[in-house]
Order: sequence, then structure tokens, then C-alpha cells
Amino acid sequence: MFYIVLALYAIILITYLFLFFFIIYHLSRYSINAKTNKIMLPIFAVVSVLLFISNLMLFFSVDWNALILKLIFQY
Amino acid sequence: MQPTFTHYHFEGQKNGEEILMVIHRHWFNILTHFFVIFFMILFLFGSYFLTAFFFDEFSEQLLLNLTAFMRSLFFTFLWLLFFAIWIDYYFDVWIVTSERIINIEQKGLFTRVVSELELEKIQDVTTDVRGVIPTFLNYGHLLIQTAGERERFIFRNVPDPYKIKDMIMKLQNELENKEENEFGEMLREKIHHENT
Repeated sequence: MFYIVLALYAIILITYLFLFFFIIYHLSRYSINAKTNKIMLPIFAVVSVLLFISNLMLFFSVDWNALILKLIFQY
Repeated sequence: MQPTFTHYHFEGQKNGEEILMVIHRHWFNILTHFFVIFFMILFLFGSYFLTAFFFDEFSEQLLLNLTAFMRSLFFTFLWLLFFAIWIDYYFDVWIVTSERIINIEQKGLFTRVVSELELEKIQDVTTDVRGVIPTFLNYGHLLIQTAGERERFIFRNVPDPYKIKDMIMKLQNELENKEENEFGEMLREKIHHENT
């Protein structure tokens, strides 16, 4: 069961990474204002990486097997 | 004091081409988009109270971890949505240079259209401010009639369209006068050459 949850979570993570890199690409490639770019790019990158890591940690802090048993079988 | 655009640069900028104005949509336009984010943040905070109030079993450690993870995931995607909206706003831009007008239209993250119009092709500039809020906050559309294939060039929801209109008309007049002077100078030289 855990592997199903993990597979679903992997899809979410891949979507997140795809959007993350696309935003980074936009900011670095198409920005017409160098000043704004210097501020926004680090803010976005740092906060996004922190959110990503914290989300990974929270995912692995959940006991998915026990949770699924509880939710499905009320065990 | 006129703002300077020395730290601005766009793809395809010619040598000696000076950026005179960079126009984004009016801030009220992005504010309406950020309302969605605002309500989602409210929902996020509301979920803390609602889960504690309605579900007693959520006090268990197992479910506490789950709700913490779900909230974190929700906030992470909210962060991306915030930037996607900001990119849609900030990268949707009109650049007025000493030679032309460039329209960069950013729609979401995956559509980007760039078009340009030479100042000498401008025939007519019209402002269109409609509604209570646009009138009060002084923003609206600016429509440029051209002599080219594309009939109209539209600046959507830009702040102070009257000022932009005046500036574009002034630039166009300056360009016309310059061309007339050059033509006159050329004629004078030719006549002078024939007489001597």
C-alpha cells in the first residue's frame, strides 16, 4: 500500500519540480529588469527548495501503512 | 523626474536603441488574481480550526502528521501558483523604445507571444477607459491603429493611458519631423549640386 502512496507522491513531486524549473527558466531567461531578477530569483529558489525539503520530511514522518489500515479497516 | 531604464534589456534590442518606457498592466489587475491566493491562505488557516473542531480523532499523532503534510503540500503549490501569477503579470509587458513598440504577451507559463510595431507605422492612438474602478484608478486600454497588416495593437489595462498616448504621439511626431528634415536636407543638397 505504501508504494501506491509513494508513486502518487512521486507524480506530485515531478509536477512540482517541472513547474519549479520552468519558473526558474522564465525568471533567468525572459526577465527584462536585471535588478528585479537579482531579487526574485534567489527568493524563489531558496524558499522553493526549503518547502520541497520540509514537505519530503513531513511525507516520511507519516506512518502510511498504519494510516491506511486505520482509514480503510478502521483498525 | 523621468525614470531611467539603464538596467533594462530585452531580447532583440538593437544597438543604440533606447528604452523610453516599460509598461506593465495596472496593479489592480494583479490584485484581482491575488484574491484567489488570499482565499486559499484563509482556507489554510481555517483548516487548523476546522479540523480541531469537527474531528476529534485528528488529535492523534498519526493524523496530526498527515494534516501537517497535507498543509505543507498545499502551501508549496500555493507558492508556485503565486509565482505563476506574478510571472503572468510581470512578464506581460509593453516596451516603448526610440524606434518601436514591443508587445510581450505572457499567458500563464507556457504561452509567450512577442510582436513589435515601428513608430513610423502608427496612424492613430485611442484610449479606452471604461467602468467605475478604471476611471477612479486611471487605467484602461490603449489602441494603436497601424498602417500594416495587423490593424490594431492593444495595450490592455495599462496605468495612465492618456500619458502613454501623449508620449507615443510625441515620439511619432519627432520621428516624422526628423524624416521631413532629412528629406528637405537631401533636396537642398541636390538643388545646390545641380546649380553648381
